[in-house]
Amino acid sequence: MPDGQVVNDAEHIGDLESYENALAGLNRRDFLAYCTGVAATLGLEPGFGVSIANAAVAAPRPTVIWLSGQACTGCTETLLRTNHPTLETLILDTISLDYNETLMTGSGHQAENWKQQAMKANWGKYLMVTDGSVPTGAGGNYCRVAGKTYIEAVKDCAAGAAAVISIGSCSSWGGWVSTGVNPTGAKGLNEIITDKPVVTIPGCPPNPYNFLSLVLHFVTFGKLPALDDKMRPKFAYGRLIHENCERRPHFDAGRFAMEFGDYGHRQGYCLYKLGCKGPETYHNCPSIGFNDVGQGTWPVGTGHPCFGCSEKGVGFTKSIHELATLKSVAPPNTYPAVATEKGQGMTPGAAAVVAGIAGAAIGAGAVIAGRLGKQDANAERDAPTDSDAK
Amino acid sequence: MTGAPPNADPFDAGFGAATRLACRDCGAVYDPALGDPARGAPVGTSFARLPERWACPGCGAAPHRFGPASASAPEAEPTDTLIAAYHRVAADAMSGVAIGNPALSVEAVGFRAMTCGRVAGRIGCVVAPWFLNAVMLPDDAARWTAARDGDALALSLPSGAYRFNAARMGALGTLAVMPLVSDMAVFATQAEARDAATLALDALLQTNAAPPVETAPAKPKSALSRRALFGRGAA
Repeated sequence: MPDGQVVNDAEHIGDLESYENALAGLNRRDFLAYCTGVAATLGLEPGFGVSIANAAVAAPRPTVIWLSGQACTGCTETLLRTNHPTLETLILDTISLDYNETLMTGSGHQAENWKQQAMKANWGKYLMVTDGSVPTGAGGNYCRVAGKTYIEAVKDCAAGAAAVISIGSCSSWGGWVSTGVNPTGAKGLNEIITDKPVVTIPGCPPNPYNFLSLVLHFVTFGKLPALDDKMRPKFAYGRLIHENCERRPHFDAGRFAMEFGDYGHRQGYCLYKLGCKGPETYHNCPSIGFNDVGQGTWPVGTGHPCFGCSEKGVGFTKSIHELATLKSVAPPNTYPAVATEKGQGMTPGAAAVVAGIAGAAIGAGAVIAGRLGKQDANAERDAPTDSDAK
Repeated sequence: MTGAPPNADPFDAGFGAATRLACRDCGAVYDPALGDPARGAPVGTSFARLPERWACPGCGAAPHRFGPASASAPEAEPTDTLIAAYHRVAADAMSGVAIGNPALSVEAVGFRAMTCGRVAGRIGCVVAPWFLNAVMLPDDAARWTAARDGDALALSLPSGAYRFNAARMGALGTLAVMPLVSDMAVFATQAEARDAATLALDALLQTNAAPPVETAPAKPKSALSRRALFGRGAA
């Protein structure tokens, strides 16, 4: 199609009647619109919304066991504020949230028994999600649940998990508890669980929509989406905030806010000189915003510089008003095909350009892959998200 | 202007701290030295920094109706004006900003006439020490007047649809801009940056063989007469 959108064939559409009342009472139209939205967030072509819809109504709900370490509960709180779908929809219809210390009704031995049962019954199949960092100081004794240190708890749980997801910066790379003097020896989960991949959704708080999209991808395709070198899903962390930012035109034109409340700040100018870490932070906050209340609901949208909460070495590490440096997109994240077609090595500049193009493409993963890398075409069919396009 | 000999400085679309502009419709002059406090622009505000909804005090025209105040200035090509504007930004606002690559300079690469969906204009890349962007200059300068800075504009290029951002550029009006490279340190020389920009344009503007993408023909636009509108066979 001229607009670059590729639409899946209608044959994928399942039994329309089964969509009625899906996800706890959405009508068919809303349900399909929701699934298409998830497809867009994942960088898939719109037609994959139908696949997601089919999986969401057909697949047995995967068991999720959610453990909390040194956390402020912000990650759970942010999940409570999702609207697409709402939390009750998520935990009643999409996944089976069998253990979450904040949300479950049971307590004490009852809760612990339930966790053990859920693990045993779904051994090798459940999703393990953790928020909060893992304290390693003092033999791990800074955090004990049910008589076990948190280190033991995550190791036990990870042993039988089909996939391990770290939600939030603390669980992803240690977060704020790991910065500075770090008295508890806080570490990210991926430093404790080393024998299987730990997908990370960093952010403080992370965007629940990215988490939900990740889970639905897992439910739909039975595997995880394309990840970057820090094990973050590329659909959410593939592009710098600087490149998604609605204030980017001001940066290009040299229009900066110089202090809070000045003329430039009131005009919505670029916050780089106030210490915005957008140029060194990978996230899709500007594109999807928070809490479903519309455009501009993220820190920079409200006039505060991004402080790089999701990026190790930036958030909670650099001071808030310290000037940012720029990060390049690492060449492995980009399409190798362009340079080979041109018969020359892939220069970092060319890699950056190609990554930039892929990042700006609209919901056209297949289109971009078809354009820039023919050999991706087959891989595209098997794994719709193994493309870098957003 | 600040004593510059006429035509020595190309028109910078109002990015200069002292560039005076005149409304082409009513002749009203905007002088940064006076500002426009009544419309929210303090004294010393350059034309390119006027508030988002600022309009000509004389006739209410949008900023793209403004041009050089000195009558002797020739009408400049929009691309040249754009480059002059970025040169001015490089010399003023971006000087001393650590984020750019000082080995690079502002340059337009590969601008060509193009019709993207319903938007006719000129598309190309701009290289600057602090960005490499694809830029679409619409032929109709009023095309995106209603858009605010950063609004998403989806443009269909031969290789697919892309998200551009609306960017107000002073007297040039509102353009569509797509950031391609942010970390300009990946380029060692201007030539490398230029090559990357050419590569980017090639990738963006190449048509895929299958399915055939309809490239909107750049047919001469005849004035839409009533006859042409209602008559099926009319040329």
